[in-house]
Amino acid sequence: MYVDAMNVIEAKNIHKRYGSLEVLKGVSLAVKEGEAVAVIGPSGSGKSTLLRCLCNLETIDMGSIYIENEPIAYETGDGSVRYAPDRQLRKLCRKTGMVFQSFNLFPHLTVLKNITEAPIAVAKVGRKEAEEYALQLLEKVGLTDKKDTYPSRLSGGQKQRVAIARALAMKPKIVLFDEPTSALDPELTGEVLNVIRDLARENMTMIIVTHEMGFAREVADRVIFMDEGEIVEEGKPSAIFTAPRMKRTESFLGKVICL
Amino acid sequence: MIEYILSILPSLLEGTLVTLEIFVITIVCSLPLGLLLAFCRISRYKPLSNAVGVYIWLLRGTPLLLQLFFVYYGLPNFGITLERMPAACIAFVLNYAAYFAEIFRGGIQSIDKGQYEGAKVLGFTYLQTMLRIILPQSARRVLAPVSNEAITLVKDTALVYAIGVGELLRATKIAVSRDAVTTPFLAAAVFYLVMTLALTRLFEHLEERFGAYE
Repeated sequence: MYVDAMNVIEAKNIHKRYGSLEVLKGVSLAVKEGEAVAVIGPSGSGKSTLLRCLCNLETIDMGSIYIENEPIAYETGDGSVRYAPDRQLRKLCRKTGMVFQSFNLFPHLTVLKNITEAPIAVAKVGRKEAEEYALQLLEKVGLTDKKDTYPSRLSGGQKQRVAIARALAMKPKIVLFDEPTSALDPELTGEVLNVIRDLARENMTMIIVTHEMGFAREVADRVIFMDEGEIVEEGKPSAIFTAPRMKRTESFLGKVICL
Repeated sequence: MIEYILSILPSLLEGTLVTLEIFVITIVCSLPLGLLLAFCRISRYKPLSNAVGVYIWLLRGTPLLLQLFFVYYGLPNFGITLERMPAACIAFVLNYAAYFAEIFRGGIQSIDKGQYEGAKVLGFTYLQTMLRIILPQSARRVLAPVSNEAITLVKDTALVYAIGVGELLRATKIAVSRDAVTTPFLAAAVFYLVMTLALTRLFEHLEERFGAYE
C-alpha cells in the first residue's frame, strides 16, 4: 500500500552506545509517507533511544539517518559519523515532531502560547496566523476552552494533548511518540490514544513507541518488535500479534498478554 | 529630640542619596554582568568556564572591604588611579557580579532537561531556548536569593565609609562625633530599615508576578 510513497524517515544500521553499553546494535528502519509504525518491546530494548536518535536528541556512533532523503547524519569513508551543519540540521529536524512521555510543556506559557511559540519564533509565522492554527489544533484535541490556562492546571491527559498540538503546530512530516501514555493514570490514557487514533485516520506519518499492545495492534500499519538493541521482527500487526515468527517476540507477547 | 533629628536630617538624607546611588549602580551593572558570567561558567569551553570559576572564587573568597581597598589604594600602583566613588562602585559591581553569577548558574541549571529537549525538537536555537524558555523560568527561581543579595547590598554600602565616601553611615558618624550623642545611629537604622523594607515589598511583588503560572 505504501510501496510507491516516499520515505519520510530512514535509518540505516544505526549504532548507539553509552560507554560500554551498546543500546542500539545496528537498527535499520524506513517509514513511508502516511504510515503509522508502532515500536514495541521490553524496557531497555532501545525503543526510546531509537526515537531520540531520529530527532537528534542523541547522536549516533555509526550508521546514517535521512529525513525526506536528506541526510541528518551519514557515514564518511572512514566509518565515522558526520552530522549535517547546525542550520541544516535544525531545518531537517523541524520536519519531525516529538511527543515525550513527560510532556515537556513550557510551564511559564499558557496553553495557546505553548503551541504558538515555535511557529512564531522558529518558523517565522505571523502571530495571528499562528494563533488561528493553534486554535484549530486545540479544537482537534478537544481543549479549546483551556487556551489561556497554564499547564500546571491541566491533568496529565490534557497536558499530553496540548503537547501533541504543540508538535503538530510546526506542521511536521512525521510525529514521533515516545511512550505518550506511560506517565498517565490509566483512566486518562484513552483521551490521548483517541487523539493519536484520529491522526492515524488522517494518514499522519508516525512512529509510536508504546506499551499499549491493543492500541498498537489497532492503529499501526506495521509493528516493530525490538529487544536488546535490535529489531527482532517486524510485520503487519495481525501477523506479529497472532503468529510471531521469532521465539523472542512470542515470549515477550506471552508475558505482556498475561499481564 | 525631634528638633535635633530634624536638624541632622538634611545631612542624613544627603548621605542616603549617596548610598542609593551606589546601590542602584551596583544592581544595574552587576545583574547583567552576573548573567554573562553565569553563561561563561556553564560554557562547554573549559578555559572560559575555569577562568570564571577562579574569578568567582577570588571575589567570594576575600572580604569586600579588602577588594574595596585594593581598587582604591592598590590600583594606583598599576597606574590606575580612581576617584573614591568610581572606585567604590567598581569594587561593588565586581564583587556582586560574582555572587549573582552563582545564583544565576544555579537557577539556569535547576531547569529540567526536558525543557531543553522540548525546545530543541521544536527547532529553537540555543539562544532562543535560553531567552524564551529557560531564563523566564529561572527568573522565578532566582528571585528569592537575588532579593537576599539586594538587601545585603543596602547594608554593605556602609563599607565605602572606609575609603571616605560620604554615604549614610559616614554622615551619621560625623553627627555623632560632632554632637556627642548617639541618636543619629537610631535615625540611620531607621533609614536602612525603610530601604530594606521597600526592597522586601518589591521582591514579594515580583515573586507573585513571576510565579503566576505555578
